[in-house]
Amino acid sequence: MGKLSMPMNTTIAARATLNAGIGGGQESKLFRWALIAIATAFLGLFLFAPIIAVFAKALEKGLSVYFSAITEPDAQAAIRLTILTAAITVPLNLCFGVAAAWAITKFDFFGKNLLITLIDIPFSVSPVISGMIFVLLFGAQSLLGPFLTAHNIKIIFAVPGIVLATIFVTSPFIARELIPVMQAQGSEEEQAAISLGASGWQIFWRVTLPNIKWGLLYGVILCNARAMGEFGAVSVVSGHIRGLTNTMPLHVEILYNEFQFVAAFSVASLLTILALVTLAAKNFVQKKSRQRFITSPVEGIDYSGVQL
Amino acid sequence: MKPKSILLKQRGVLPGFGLTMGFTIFYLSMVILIPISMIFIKTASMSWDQFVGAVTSPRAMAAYYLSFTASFIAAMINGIFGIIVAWVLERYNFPGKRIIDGLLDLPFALPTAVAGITLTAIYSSNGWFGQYLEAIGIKAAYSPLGVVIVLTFVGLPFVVRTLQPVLHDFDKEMEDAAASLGANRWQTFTKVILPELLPALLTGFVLAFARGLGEYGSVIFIAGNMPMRTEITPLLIMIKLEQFDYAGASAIAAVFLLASFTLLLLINLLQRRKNLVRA
Amino acid sequence: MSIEVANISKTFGTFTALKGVSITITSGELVALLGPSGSGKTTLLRIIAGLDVSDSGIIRLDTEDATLRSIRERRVGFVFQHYALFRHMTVFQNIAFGLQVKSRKLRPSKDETREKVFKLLMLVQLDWLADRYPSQLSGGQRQRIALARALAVEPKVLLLDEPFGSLDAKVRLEFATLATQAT
Repeated sequence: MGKLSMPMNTTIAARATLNAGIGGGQESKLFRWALIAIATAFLGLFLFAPIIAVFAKALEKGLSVYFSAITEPDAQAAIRLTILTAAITVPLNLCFGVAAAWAITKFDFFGKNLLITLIDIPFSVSPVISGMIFVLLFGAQSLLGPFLTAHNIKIIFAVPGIVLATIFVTSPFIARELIPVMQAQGSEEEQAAISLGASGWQIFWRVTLPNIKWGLLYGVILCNARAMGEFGAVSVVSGHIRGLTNTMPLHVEILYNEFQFVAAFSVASLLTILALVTLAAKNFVQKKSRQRFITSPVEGIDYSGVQL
Repeated sequence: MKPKSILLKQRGVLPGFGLTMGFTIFYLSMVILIPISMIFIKTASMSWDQFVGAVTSPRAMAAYYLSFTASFIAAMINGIFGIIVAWVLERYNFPGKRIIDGLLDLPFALPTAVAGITLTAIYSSNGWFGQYLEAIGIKAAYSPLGVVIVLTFVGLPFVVRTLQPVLHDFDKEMEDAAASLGANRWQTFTKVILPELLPALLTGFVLAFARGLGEYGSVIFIAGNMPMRTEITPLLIMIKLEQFDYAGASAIAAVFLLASFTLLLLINLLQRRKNLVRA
Repeated sequence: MSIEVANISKTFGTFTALKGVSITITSGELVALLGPSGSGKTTLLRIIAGLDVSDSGIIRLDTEDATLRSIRERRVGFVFQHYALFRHMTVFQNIAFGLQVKSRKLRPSKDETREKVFKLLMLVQLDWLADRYPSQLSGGQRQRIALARALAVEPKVLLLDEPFGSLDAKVRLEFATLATQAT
């Protein structure tokens, strides 16, 4: 008799508390909000503050100063070089990524794991080293050095070196995205296509490509972001010649070291906008494909030392 | 020349093996393998004594120490807060959650130089946060602490993103079972949930650590780069290059590469362990 | 087309799927391979089609040694156990695929293709699904589309892998009748 007379509102309130969290959370409401507060504070300190700071500092002296900083000739040259580098790097790495993913996921061969590990090498190498290896290969003191100087071919301290270093650093991105996607999809559709008489290219264009388009796009977005933002490797090979061999990140460094803070942050703000657009594009692609792609380490993928 | 039947069996029935494999190996060699081998070729040209001298000089040792400890501490911070952030994102609903989740990858997408100058500006003595730290006597910029702060930013997504899928797929029935057996929430967390998260946590930690070791662009702005005090290993390599001490730079780079590869192996092992346990 | 399987063996690692299997099938015959799962039925079918290569033994198609011939050369139609329909193409495009990838000389015109595809769709009684995507079809419907697709290129022999796998009894009967009619 006593049990039945429990007040209704207490029961409802008790139920509400129990059901309040998503997926079975049974922590008290207070604790929950405390955790959220801690997480937000941590992220605020390390994540949000920098984003806000870039724009605040860039616009510190007003819009006109901001615009003159990004339209100044050396800045424009840097922007052009950055875009050029990406325009060469991304298509090349796209071809590589597709070829490697096809070879790895559609066939069985000895040494497959080794190949995958080798493709990962640029990820685990510090950017400075990534640039340095090209100096060792093409620089004045290298084996090829005298040959290049004799023929007046400039690689190091010139645009080709920058492009090469960027290609090295971003080469695994597209392969890395495609391999799990293609592995998960299997080869059945391709086998069906070949049983119907399709040639290799027909199979790729008509059957495989439509299935991998989102993973491909995702990889291209990441590859591009990194190609435009690469600093360490490019810094080593570039020679820092203003107006000629400076990409946007390098230009930011130069301005900063000359204490032209507002100008530095202005150019940096462009790169930040690029980063935010990249994030938005990533989220869009993920939503569209209803899959979660690899940006960061997930099962079976190693991303040691990924840096921009 | 192998008989056709064996080739067919090895390569399966789909076309394009020759073309794709050939291009892949060509590209791989040209772009990755040959350049990387230059480090070891250059190092091999040194005598053993020269090598040891370059690699164990006091300045180099100080650089290793800084790189190692700063990365370690940053990875620990990211480990602890990473659990909280991942938990909050996967288990709770609150305004702005989607935006935060989307922004979490920012350290991956933002160029290191931008991160470098921005964090320096914020934490220098007249910066937004720096001024408060100055007031209590803590120097953030141009000190090892600054390096830790930057590396925390840089490694932020690693732990969170590794934990999120694990939390997402977590079997909540286990928690219910624990509760039905009388465990309070904390006990359930430490005895039931945390052990499941440990492999992913470890992987995320090692990844953040490895990333911190090699980080260059963001650190050089905040560190102050004073030799023996706030000089990180990649910067030391850079300086040697600028002084045309290619051999010395290669020596340190070779040691660094070996460390990175070892970490890569460690991560692979951890992943394999994780998959075995899962199965 | 007659099929002769002579002493075919196939092992996967330590697992022996087929050992010394020999069968002869005359032209026009309808043959069913029955056996418990794991007995090698799919393996044998794939070897006959050219999707896998045996370790030893010979396959003769129309009395000619076809053991090393590629699947494209064999003119064998294959209906996969899980249908393997092209998920990004409509039903119409799936069936038309084999016709569209033919070399320019042999390729039928758009109208001819359309006629052929709809003829096949009516054969499997699914002409009303022409614009749907595989994900929108039931298991039985996908099964029939996979059959239509394989028939479009007029193969000399049709191999069906586990055709009754995920179908209920009524659909099974319908499909069996269909398959018999199609030959």
